[in-house]
Amino acid sequence: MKRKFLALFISLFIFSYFSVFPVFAEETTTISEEKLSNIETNCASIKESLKRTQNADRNTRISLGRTYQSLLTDFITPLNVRLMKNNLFDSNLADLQTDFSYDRDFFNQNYINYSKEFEELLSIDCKTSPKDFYSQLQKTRQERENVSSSARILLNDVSDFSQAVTDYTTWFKEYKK
Amino acid sequence: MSEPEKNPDEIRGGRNLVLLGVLSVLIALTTSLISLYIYHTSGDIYLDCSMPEADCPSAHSNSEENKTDNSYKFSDSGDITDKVLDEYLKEFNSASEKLRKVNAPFGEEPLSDESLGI
Repeated sequence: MKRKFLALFISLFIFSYFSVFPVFAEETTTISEEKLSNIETNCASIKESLKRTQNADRNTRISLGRTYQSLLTDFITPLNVRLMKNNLFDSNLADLQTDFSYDRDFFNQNYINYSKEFEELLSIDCKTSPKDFYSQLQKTRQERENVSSSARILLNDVSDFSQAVTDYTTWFKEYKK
Repeated sequence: MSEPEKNPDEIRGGRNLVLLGVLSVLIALTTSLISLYIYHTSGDIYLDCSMPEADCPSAHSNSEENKTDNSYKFSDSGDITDKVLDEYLKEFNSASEKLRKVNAPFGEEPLSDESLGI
């Protein structure tokens, strides 16, 4: 009886341990010798190109960020407030405002994560550690893809909002007749 | 001729003043370092428009872009009419056009092996 209890206890412990601390297989980066050699040889120009990309990305982020902010504070939020004041509240438009606000925060967070990975990439000496550099480059690419995808989501949100306002306008014109 | 002896209270007062100065500098340094640490770890550094390398027009009050951006703002008070909604939609679509102009933001090309010469 004691043994059964002990076995049950141990198996429960092992199960909970792996549930709480998931074990990940170590990521293996396969990279050809040719690529490693290219990284070593072109290290300076790669770094230069990365810095240019970093600056371009910063400006793109600022441009997008300002437009998101303007759409939210100059258009989306005031419309919902005004509709509410006129007792014409529309739950669909309010939901779209929440989605847009949430997705914008998600975009910002993704951009921060991407920037951190990018900084890490630039800090690696590609001449002495080409393998680490390439491994970090792949992580940075993944984070960049996340930023790109959240920008696409926000563009869809804007299209959805525009369509919802069009539908609302059509309904309103019928309602007023 | 020997110098007149200083009052012990005067000496203590001078020391306390120096101590106060040193402590103030230390506190200022510590809080500045903590602020910088939070600024960096929270990621705000990456979203900051006031960075010198960021070409952020909102940081410059006289920029042309700022003037045009603030040209339309939908008021959150007033009646709702057909005309108001039509104008709103027109302005909203015009403002959101800026997003569509940014062609495939953060595409994979700049970090591809080919672009970097790897």
